[in-house]
Amino acid sequence: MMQPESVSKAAGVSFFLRSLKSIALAALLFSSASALAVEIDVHGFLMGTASSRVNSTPLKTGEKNNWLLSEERLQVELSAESDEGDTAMVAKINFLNDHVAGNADIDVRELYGEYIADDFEVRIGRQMLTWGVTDRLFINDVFPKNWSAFFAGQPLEYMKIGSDMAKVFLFGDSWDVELALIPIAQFDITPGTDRFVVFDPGFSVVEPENRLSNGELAGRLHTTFGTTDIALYAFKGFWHQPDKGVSGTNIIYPRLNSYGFTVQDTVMGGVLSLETGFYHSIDDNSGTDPLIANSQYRYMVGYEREVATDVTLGLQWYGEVMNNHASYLAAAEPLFRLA
Amino acid sequence: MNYFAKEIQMKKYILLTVGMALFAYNSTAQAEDAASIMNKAHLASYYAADDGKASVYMEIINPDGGKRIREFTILRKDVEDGGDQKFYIHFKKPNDVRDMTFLVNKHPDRDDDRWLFIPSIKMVKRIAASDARAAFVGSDYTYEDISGRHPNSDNSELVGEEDFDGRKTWLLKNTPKEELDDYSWRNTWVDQETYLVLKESYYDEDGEEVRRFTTDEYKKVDGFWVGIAGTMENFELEHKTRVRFSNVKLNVGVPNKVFTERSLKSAPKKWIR
Repeated sequence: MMQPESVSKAAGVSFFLRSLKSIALAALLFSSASALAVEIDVHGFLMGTASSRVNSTPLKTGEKNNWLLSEERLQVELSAESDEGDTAMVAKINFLNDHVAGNADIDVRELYGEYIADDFEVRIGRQMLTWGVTDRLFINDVFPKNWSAFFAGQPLEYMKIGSDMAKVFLFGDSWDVELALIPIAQFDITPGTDRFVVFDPGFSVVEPENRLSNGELAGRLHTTFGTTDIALYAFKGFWHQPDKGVSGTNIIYPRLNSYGFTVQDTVMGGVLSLETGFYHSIDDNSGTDPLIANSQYRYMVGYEREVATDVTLGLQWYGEVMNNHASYLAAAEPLFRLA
Repeated sequence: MNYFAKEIQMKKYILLTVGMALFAYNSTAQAEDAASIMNKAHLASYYAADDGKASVYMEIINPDGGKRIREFTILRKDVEDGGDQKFYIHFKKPNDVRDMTFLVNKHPDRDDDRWLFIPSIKMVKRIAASDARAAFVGSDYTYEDISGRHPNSDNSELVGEEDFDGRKTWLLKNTPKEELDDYSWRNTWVDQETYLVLKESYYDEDGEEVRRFTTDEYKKVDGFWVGIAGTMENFELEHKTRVRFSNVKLNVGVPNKVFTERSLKSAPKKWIR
């Protein structure tokens, strides 16, 4: 079994290489843009972030590190568009000095080119998608999240991770459709023992092989009836969390198909939201494999309204219902007896 | 927290920007009753032409002279004169709200429908209607006095005619039918030629002037009189907000599809330049 340390180092290096390639691509894209005398907009910010525990807790690595987060980050956003406004390029790159990890890194948050026609758009590259009507709970937003950044106290923006994808956006007068093809699945980043006090089973993570059949597909159809927003969602890909499958001493990401819908409208001065989805865990269809997550239904009912000037109160009721619960219990029981 | 603060701030922007509706002109100046004058002033201020676009530059000025700047583009389309309207508001400055976008379907008879696009996470969020008398981010406008207080909400009384800055105006006293917290009544000076509100003074129950709106500059655009600069002052807080429109264009044929969720996720570049 690999040591967790070497796993994380290897991941760091490949990530860095991936970033370098992206930067080279960005440089190429923008140098060709400047050759065509296109104006490039540059925006950005410099941010210092630190968050600390109030008591001293040894992490699994034995070090006492009270800092969850201590970093400086420079975000540079470059964008350019053609005179007609039909083609555009965007690069959002973060340069960070991470005192907790003890290194400097480059994070390519977004990097894409797009073509915009009257009734469709194509956007190719690393980009972010946010779907659904839940607030910090996710049903039809199946896209990868950075839970480590979220729990360490980074701004909300850093909870989302971009995926490399080709996205087509089609629209009519009263409807629009988004279709995303993600060739290589991107998984959630979960809190690790480098910053958090969490149990580490010492398992290795095995991601699906990079081949076309392991690509992911996501689609959303949105329309309005009167003042009501309605959207339908479908996804074919993988579970993105590391607690959904185990094979030997490896964490694996089982296959997942999901389907769902959202309804949202203004009701009595507030906004009423409904969201539901069925997560079909197709590698454990019958629910008899205790090492792979069962299928489940997820639902959320939410209401948000301004209760006083500049004070908004939002309430959400969220539920998950496991499919084939009896099969899961029957299959899991012997495992616990052995343990 | 950052996100919530931003959102609240942005909600307030809506209020302001809705009120940035363009001012129009009606040429018949004749003996009229107070209700009719206020009604025409309402239409002139908020329903000029069938649609319009403008770039808006706003300065929020502290008592010590410190300024905060907001810049945005606003697109408007009327569904019906005096009735429903659609607004698309795209922020350019400051940097922390750049590309933040609002879509508002205004309904005078019920709650507005509003959507907000948060660019950092590419999220479209439906947002609840705000309190009509709420002030927005340290600014001196309230939602209502900018999005257009419906003339039916007040008892209007024609006090007389007055010369104001060399213009002939009607002076009206407007008293809210339902008691408000922030003022008791207001005096409104309506230009007899253009029906633009040139000045509006708000008084508390002791007759002390607490707030004042002035139209600082207006001109004829595409056949309609338009207020292109205005100031709202709060005398209690010694605070004021200045607004200036540029690039004002009316009856430009903004298509309906600009006022859709699609435009929130993918700004119509041609229309927001």
